[in-house]
Amino acid sequence: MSYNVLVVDDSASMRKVIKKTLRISGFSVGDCLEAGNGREALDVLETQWVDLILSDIHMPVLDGFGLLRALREKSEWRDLPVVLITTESNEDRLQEAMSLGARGYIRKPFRPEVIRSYLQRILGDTDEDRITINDEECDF
Amino acid sequence: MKIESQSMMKNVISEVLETMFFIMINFDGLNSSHRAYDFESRIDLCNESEKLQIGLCVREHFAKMVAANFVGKRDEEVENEEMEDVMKELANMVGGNYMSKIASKNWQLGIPSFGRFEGGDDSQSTTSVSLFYMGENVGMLIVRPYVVT
Repeated sequence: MSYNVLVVDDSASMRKVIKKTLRISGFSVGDCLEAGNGREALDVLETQWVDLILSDIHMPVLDGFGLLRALREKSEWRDLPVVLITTESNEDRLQEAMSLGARGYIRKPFRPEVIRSYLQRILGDTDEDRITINDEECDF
Repeated sequence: MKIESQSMMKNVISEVLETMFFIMINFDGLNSSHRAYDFESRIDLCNESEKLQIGLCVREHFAKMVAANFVGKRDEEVENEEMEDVMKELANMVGGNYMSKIASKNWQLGIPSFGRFEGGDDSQSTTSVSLFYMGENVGMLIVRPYVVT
């Protein structure tokens, strides 16, 4: 099965790197869409089918928290898996993101090889507890 | 205290550059004049009473190489806008990584900026480490503390 992925980050370069990383990691990607902030992400969702959102937190216009809140408000988006890819390390803020519905987070910098297995865990087991990642925790 | 800070700064910048940019730098060599740096990326860390400004000062060819490695291009293919975007993202990652290693909590990360290097960072409270690549001084990582009034 291929997943349509929406990458949300205000850095065009980071979006490019995440997209490339997804493909070379072997993760089964169908369409890989982009948005520069949460507002643009919602616009994409209005017209495109998305299976997974990878989003930064700190973005202008509508940040990661705002995006999570907006997704919760619409029934067709409420169960859409969102994984944050972020430099945020404040545990309170990360827990806030999880309570808003994020399925997990990946801290930057990240090694490309951890992406595939981590995302497969996220998408393959809806009953699993929320997952965080740093390199020490990831099994290969 | 300063040696501890420098050690942490070295760990932070090494981890970011090696993991996401595939660049291994070291910290031993002859320093260039500060005027040899061309650009600086900055990002602030703040809490209720303190602010730290992290500055990454680099030579242009190193900034181009960083950007090229990040997006998967040749150095000469990197456009200025792309270089700026990557250098801001680098500051973002260095700031976030540094923040994760500070013992005290409640720090918030600001928005990164990028511009021409202006120099003038010789205050005693500033901590810096010089960055060397292939024997050349290609940049400097600076942490500038401020008191929030």
